[in-house]
Amino acid sequence: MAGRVVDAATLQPLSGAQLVIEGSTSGGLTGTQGRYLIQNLPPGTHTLRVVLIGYGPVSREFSAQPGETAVVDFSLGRSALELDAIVVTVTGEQRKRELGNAVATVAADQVVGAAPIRNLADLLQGRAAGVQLLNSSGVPGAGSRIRVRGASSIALSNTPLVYVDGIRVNSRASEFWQAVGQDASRIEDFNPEDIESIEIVKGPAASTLYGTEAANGVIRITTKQGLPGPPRWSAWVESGLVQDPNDYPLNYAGLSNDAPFESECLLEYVDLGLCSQTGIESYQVLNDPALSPTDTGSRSQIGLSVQGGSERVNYYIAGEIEDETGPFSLPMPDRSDLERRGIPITDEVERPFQLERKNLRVNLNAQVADQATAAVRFSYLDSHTAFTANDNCLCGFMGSALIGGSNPGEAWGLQAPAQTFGRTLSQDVQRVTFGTSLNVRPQPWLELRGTGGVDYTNRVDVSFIARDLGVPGPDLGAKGTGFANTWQYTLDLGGTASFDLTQSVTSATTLGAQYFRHLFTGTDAEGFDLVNGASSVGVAAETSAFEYQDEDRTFGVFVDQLIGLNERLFLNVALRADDNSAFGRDFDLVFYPKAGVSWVASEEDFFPDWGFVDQFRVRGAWGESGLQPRSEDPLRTLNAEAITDPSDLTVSGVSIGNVGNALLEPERSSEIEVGVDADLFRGRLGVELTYYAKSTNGALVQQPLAPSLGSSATRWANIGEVENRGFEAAVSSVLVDGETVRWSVSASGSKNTNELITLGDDVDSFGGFFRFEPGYPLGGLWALPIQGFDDANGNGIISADEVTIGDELAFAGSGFPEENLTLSTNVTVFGGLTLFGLLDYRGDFVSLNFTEFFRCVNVGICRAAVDPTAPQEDQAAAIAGLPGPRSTLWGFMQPADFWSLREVALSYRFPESLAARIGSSSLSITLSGRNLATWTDYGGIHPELEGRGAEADFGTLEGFTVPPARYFTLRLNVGF
Amino acid sequence: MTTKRLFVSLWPLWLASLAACDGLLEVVDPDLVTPEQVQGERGAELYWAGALGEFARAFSSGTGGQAVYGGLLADEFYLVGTFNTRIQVDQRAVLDVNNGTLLTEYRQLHRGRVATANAIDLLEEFPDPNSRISEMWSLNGYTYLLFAEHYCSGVPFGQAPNDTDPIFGDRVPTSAMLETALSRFAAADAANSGSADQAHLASMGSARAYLNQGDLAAAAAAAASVPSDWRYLVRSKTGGTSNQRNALFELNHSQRRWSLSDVEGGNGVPFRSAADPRVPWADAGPTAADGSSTLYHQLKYDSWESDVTLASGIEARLIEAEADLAASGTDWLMTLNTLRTDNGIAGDLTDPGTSDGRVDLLFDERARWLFGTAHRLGDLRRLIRQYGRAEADVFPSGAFPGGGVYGVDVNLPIPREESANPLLSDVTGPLCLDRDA
Repeated sequence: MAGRVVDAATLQPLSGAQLVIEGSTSGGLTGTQGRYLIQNLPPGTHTLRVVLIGYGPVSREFSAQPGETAVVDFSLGRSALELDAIVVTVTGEQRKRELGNAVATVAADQVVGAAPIRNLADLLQGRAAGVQLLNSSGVPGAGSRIRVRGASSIALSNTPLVYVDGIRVNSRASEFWQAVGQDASRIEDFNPEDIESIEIVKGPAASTLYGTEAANGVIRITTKQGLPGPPRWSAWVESGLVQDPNDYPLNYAGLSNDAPFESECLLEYVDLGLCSQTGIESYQVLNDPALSPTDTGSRSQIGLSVQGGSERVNYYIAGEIEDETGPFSLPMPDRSDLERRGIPITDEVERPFQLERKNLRVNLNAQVADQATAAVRFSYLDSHTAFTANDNCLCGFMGSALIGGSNPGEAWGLQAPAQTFGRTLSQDVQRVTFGTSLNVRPQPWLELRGTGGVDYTNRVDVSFIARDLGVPGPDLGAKGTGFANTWQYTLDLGGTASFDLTQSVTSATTLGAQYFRHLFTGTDAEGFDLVNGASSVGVAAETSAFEYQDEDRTFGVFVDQLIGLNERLFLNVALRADDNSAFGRDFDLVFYPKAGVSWVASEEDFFPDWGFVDQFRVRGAWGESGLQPRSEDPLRTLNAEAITDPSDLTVSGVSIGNVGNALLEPERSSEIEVGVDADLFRGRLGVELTYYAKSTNGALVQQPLAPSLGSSATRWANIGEVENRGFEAAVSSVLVDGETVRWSVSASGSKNTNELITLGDDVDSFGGFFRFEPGYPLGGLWALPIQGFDDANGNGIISADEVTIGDELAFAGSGFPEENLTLSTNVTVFGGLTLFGLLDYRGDFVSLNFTEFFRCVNVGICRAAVDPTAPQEDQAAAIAGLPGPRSTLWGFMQPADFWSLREVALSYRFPESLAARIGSSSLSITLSGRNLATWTDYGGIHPELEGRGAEADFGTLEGFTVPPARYFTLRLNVGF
Repeated sequence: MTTKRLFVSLWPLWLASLAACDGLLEVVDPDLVTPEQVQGERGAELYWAGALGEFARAFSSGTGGQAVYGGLLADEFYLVGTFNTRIQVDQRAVLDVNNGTLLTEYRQLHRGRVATANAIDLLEEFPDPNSRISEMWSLNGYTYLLFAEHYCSGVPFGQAPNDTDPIFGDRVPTSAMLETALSRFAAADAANSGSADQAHLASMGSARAYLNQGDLAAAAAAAASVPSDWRYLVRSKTGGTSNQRNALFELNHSQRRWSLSDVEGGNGVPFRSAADPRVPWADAGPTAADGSSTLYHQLKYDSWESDVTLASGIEARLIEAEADLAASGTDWLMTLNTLRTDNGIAGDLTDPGTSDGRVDLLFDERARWLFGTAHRLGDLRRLIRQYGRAEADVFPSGAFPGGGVYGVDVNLPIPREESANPLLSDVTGPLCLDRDA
C-alpha cells in the first residue's frame, strides 16, 4: 500500500511519521514529501495506524488485494497532549489517555543532533518537569545526580531505576577510584544517539508495578528500532571546542614590614596591632595565561547508523566513536620539571582529562510467526576516561592553585601541575547490554510478553604515582589497580487479556512476574614504594589487596486491572507483591497497591463547547512502591580478625559485628498525584499540571543501641519518615505556525518541598553542616547563624568580637534546588533554518562554598581575610569561621540560585535538491553551544558544583571542584 | 473452562508462586561472616580468640582501654592533646552527653564482657583441655571488676543473643557488680581443667574483688596460692586486621597526646621525680600534640607490641601486705621489701611510723608496681571509701593545667546513650545511681 501524510491544517507533508500495520511488524516511515510505501502485505483486511509526535494518531482500516496497491492518505491534526501516544509500561504498551499518572516523555531522536547533547544527562536536563539533573564536576566523564520529585530516603540511594528496552541496567554512581571528588555515573554509558525516546515514571503512584526499588521513579529508555524498507543510512560528524570560561578567585597576601608577618599581615593581626599593612598582593595562577594549565580542549564524534529490512526482519545498527579532551594541559615549566625528573610525559600527563568512547548497537526485530514477534537488543561500550586526582582535595591542581601564593613565583600551594598531572588515574569500562523479547498473540484478546537480558559492566581503575615525582611525603611511588564487575539480570514475563465487556466497557487484565538479580564483585590491589621505572603492584615493596562482593535478588508478581468506559474514562487498580534477598529474615512479602483514574472530560457530550478547548483531561493516581535495604543490613554479622593469644600465637577470631534486624523491611513510599491536561486553541497550546504528595514510611535510620548490649552501636530500623510535596507544570505553545515561520516555546517547572518528618523516637538529629533535622529538608545546611556584625571601633575591620553569632544551630537552606524552571524556544524559518535555545533556572537552595571557607580560615588568602576594603559581610564570614568555641560556616553557606543559558543551536536543513547532489536524502548542519552563560549571585566559582562527586546524596558543596566547561560544536548530519 | 476464564483464574496462583521462590532469592555473600557459618568446635575457638581481642581492646588497646582512661582520670597520665572529650576525663569533669570518648570505652568494655560470655556458651559444648572456658569466665569476671572500679554505681548489663530479641538489663549497684565478678571467678575455678595459669587468674580476680569489697582477709586468702613470679598478660600486636596495639604506647609515644604525670594536681604520685625503675620515663621535649607542651614518655611500654599485665603474683603480694597492714600485722613491710629485692629495686622501705603514713607507703608501692595496668583508679577510690580519705586529698585537685580547676569526679559516668535501653528510658538526667567512690 502507499499514500501520503499531511498536516490537517496546513496540508503540508509530514516527514518521519511512523506507520504500523497493527498486529504485525510491517510498517514504514514517511519521507520528506510525506509519502510512504509498504510492500508485501498479506491479502485481507488490515488496520494501518499513523503516529507522529505533536499530532494525534489516526487509524484506518483497508483491504489488501493480491497484485493491487491500496492508496490510503492521512491528515493528522495537531495535538500537544498526545493523549493517544503510546507509552511503554510494565503492562505493555498503553495509550497515555488510559494512565492516571503523568508520564514525562523526551523525544530523544528529535533532540539529539539538533541540540548540543553529549550524554544522557544532557538529554534529560531541563526536559521533564520534576526531574532534576545536578552536575558534580566539570571534568569529562563526571557523573550527574538524578532526582525525581525530591529525595525520599535518608540512608539509601535516591537515584531512579533505569531500564533500557525493558532490561534493568546498572545506573549507580561508581567512583573514580582514588580520584577523591570525581565520580562517574553508569547511566552516562548509554549513547543518546541510539535512543528513540525516554519516559520518566516519576513516583510510586506510577511506579508501583516496578516493585521494590522503584520508589525513586523509573527512567525507561527505548532505543531506535528499524522499520521495513531499503537500508536508510545516517552519518554524523561533530567537532568542537571545550573551554574553561570561569574566573577564579585571587589569592591575597597582606604585606608588612613587621616580622614575622611580612607576607601574612592578615586583617585579624592588623586589628590586634600585631602588624600594619604596607600593601596587598594578589594573584591567581589559573587566570594567568602564561602559567595556567587552562587550555582549549576538544570534542569530536563520528557515527554511522543503518536501518531497514524486510517485512519479517528489520534492523537498526549503529556505531560511534566519541572523543573529548578537557580544557587543561601541562604548562611548559612543569613539562621541564618532569623531563628533569626523567618521568615520561605521556598523552595523559600532558592532557590529564580525557574521555574516549566507542559504542556499537544492533537491534533486530523479527516476525517469527504470524502472531509472534521477537526482538534482540545488543549494545557494547568501550570507554576510557583519564583524569587526575582533583575535586575536594588539595592534592589536585585546582586545590593547589586556589590555596597558592599571591605572586607568580609562589603560584602553587602544595603541588605544581607537574606533580598533580603526573599522578595519572584512569577508568576503563567495557559494557554489554543484551536483551531479548518475545511477543505472542495466540488469541486476538490475549497478548503474552517475555523479556530477558543482562547488563554487564567490567571496570578497571588504575592509579599511578611514579617514584620521585615530587609529591609531598614519602615520594616513593604507588600503584593501584581496581577491578570491578557488575551484572544486572532481568526476567520479565506478563500477559494481558483484553475484552469488550459491553459495547462501551472494555477490560484489560494483566498478570506479570519479574525476577532481578544484581551482582557486584571487585578486587583492589595497591602497592607502595616502587623502584624507578616500575609501574606494577607486583614489584612494590609493600602491597595490600581487598576483595568485595554484593548481591541482591528480587522476585515479584503483580496483577493489574484496567476498565475503560466509552474510551474516555479509565479506572485502574493493581497489586504487586515482592520478595527480596535483603528483607529481614522475619519479614516475608511486601505488597504494593495502586489505583488510578483518567477521564478525558472533553469527549463527554455534556462538556461545554468552548471553542478553544480541544482536549481536557483530569487524572489521578495513588500507589505505593519501595526501596529495599542493602543486602547486609538485616544480617547479623561477625567481625573477623587476627588475634595474639596468651601463648603469643596469632590465631583467627570473630566477634559481634552488625547486630542486624530480622524484621527489616523495605522503605515504603506512598504517593498521590492529581493533574489536568489541556490541549487548547487547535493544538497551539498544551498545558499539563500536576500536584503530588509522597510520603515515605519506614525509612531506614540507624537506630542507636544501648551500649550495655555489648554489640554494634546501631542497627538499621524502619523508623524514619520523609515527605515530598510539589507542583509540576509543563506548557508548550506554537506561537507562530506559518509556511515560512514556525515558532514554538515551552516551559516546564516544578516546585518540590522536601521534609524529614521523623527519625524515630529515640534517634537524635544528626549530621554536621548537612544535617538531618525533623521538620526540614534532608541534608539541609545548618550552622550557628551570624546574626549581625558591627564595626564598633570604626577601623574598617570586622573582628571576632564584632560579630554576633547565635547560640543554636539554624537552618541556612536546602542543599538541593527546590525550584526548577526550564524555558525553551524553537524558531524555524523557511522550513530549513532552525534556532533552538534552552534556559535553565534552579532556585531556592544553598551551596556550601567550602573552597572559600578553606581559603579564608585555613590558609588566610581570601580577600575577606586580607583586604580591608573587602565587604564587611565577607569579613564577618571569614572571622566567624576561625577555630573557636563558636566557629561557624554560616557565612559560606551561600544562596546558589542561578540561571543558565544551557543550550543554543542553529541548524540548517539543506534543500533536498542540494542534498541529492552528494547522493544523500537529507543533509543538515548544526552549530551549537552548551553552558554558554550563568547568572547568579553565588559567591563561589560556580553554583553547580558538587565536590564530593555523583555519589553524594545530599547537599551541595563546592570544594576545589573543576567547574562546568563551555562547549561549541559543529555537527554535520547526512542521510542516504 | 474457557481460555478466558482460565487466564483470569490464574491470578491467585500467581500470587501464591511467591511462596515457592525462596530459593531464587538465596544470596551468599563471601564478604560477610554470619553466626550460621561459625559453628562447631572450630567456631567455638574462633569466638574464644575473638573474645581475647575484644577484652584486649577493652583493657589496653584499640582506642585506649580502661588502662589508659583509668590512668587519665587518676594521676598516672595527663593530657597534652586537644580532644575536649579526653580533657574532661583528665580534668575529672566528665560530661555524660556528647562524649564520644566515654561512650567508646564504655561500649568496648561491654563488648569484652559479652564476647567472653558468648565464647563460654559455645566452648561448653566441647572438650576443654586448655581450660579456655575457665579463662573466659575469669576475663568475664574482670569486666565486671573494671566496671565496678572505674564506673559509677548503676551500670546495666545486657546482651543481644543471636536468635532472640535483645535482653536489656536494669541498673546494677557497684556492690552487685562485685558479687557478680566473684561468681564469675568461682565459675572459672569450677571450669578449670587443670591449668595452673587459669587457677591463678581466677584467684587473683577473686582477690581483687574481695579487695574492692573491703574484705582484705578474703582477698589475701585468695591471693595466697599465686606465685610471686606469675603473671597473666593481655597480649598486644600490630599488623594485619588486628586492633590489638598497645594503646599506652600508641597514645603516649605515637600520637603524643598522653604524658606521664608527676605529682598531678598536688596529690599524685611523683612518677617522674622519684626516678623509680618500675616507671621508667624519658623527656621527649616540646613535642606534644598540642603543639607546645613537653612530652614525657613512659618507657614501661616501649612498643605497640608491649604486653600489659592483667594480674600477677606481685599484685598477690601487695594484697597480702595490705591485708596484713589492715590487721595491724608486722609482715607487711617485709613483704613489700621482699618484692623490691626479688625484682631488683634498690633500697628498702622503712616504716613511716603512722597509720596514714603506712597506708600512703603501701598505695605508693601499688601505684609503681601496678602502673599502667588499670589499678590506680580503683585504689584511689578505695582510699576514699575504705580508708576515709577526702576526695580532694586523694585525686588530682586544685588548678587544672589546661585552665580552670579540677572537678570532683571519682569515677566515669554512664554515657547518656544508654537511654536507648528501654529499661532506662524513663530516667531523666544522669543515669548513675550515685557517683560515690
